[in-house]
Amino acid sequence: VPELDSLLDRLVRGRVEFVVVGGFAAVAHGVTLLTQDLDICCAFVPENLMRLQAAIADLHPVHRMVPSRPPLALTPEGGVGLQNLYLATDWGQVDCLGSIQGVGGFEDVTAQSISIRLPSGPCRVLGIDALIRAKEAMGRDRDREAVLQLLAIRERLGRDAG
Amino acid sequence: MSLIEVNLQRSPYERILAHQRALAMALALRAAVERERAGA
Repeated sequence: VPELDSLLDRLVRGRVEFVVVGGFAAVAHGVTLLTQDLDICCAFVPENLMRLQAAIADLHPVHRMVPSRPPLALTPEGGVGLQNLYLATDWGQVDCLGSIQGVGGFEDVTAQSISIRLPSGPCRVLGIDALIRAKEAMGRDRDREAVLQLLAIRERLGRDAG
Repeated sequence: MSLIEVNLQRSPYERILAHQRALAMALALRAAVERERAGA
């Protein structure tokens, strides 16, 4: 069974600079759909990529989009120019994205995120408005379903606030 | 009360934990169905 919450804890404890996006962010906002992979937007700078690698090193991360599934073996120099990392680990899939369609790069994503508290420490999650835009931009069936729920949640929260 | 309403009464972390339990259950069910199909 994937332990995505523990994967999240690993990244937080490892001081990786990231924002949770995608289906897991939708879950954090209250969406009822199940998701199996963890999508994060992170700073693609050498220090952060090395922190990411160290945080999950014992979970046997591999590049899952490469047919030979080579192990993750980043070097500070080798990470330059990377835009995305699609990884499989013992605890589930992690997609590390440099930018999010409909939102922008890591700085934009961070600016439109909220902080939640996990037992391992604070963690940033894409805010509901930006998440709706990102899901609309993706436009897959499951994204459309998530958007419907996110719109209902936003309206419900708006009613509470008003 | 809808499932979304129930979720909105939880903290984001509690939502993630609840999701994790539901996912574990769904994956166990899927594995059981696959075992059943393989045995049939």
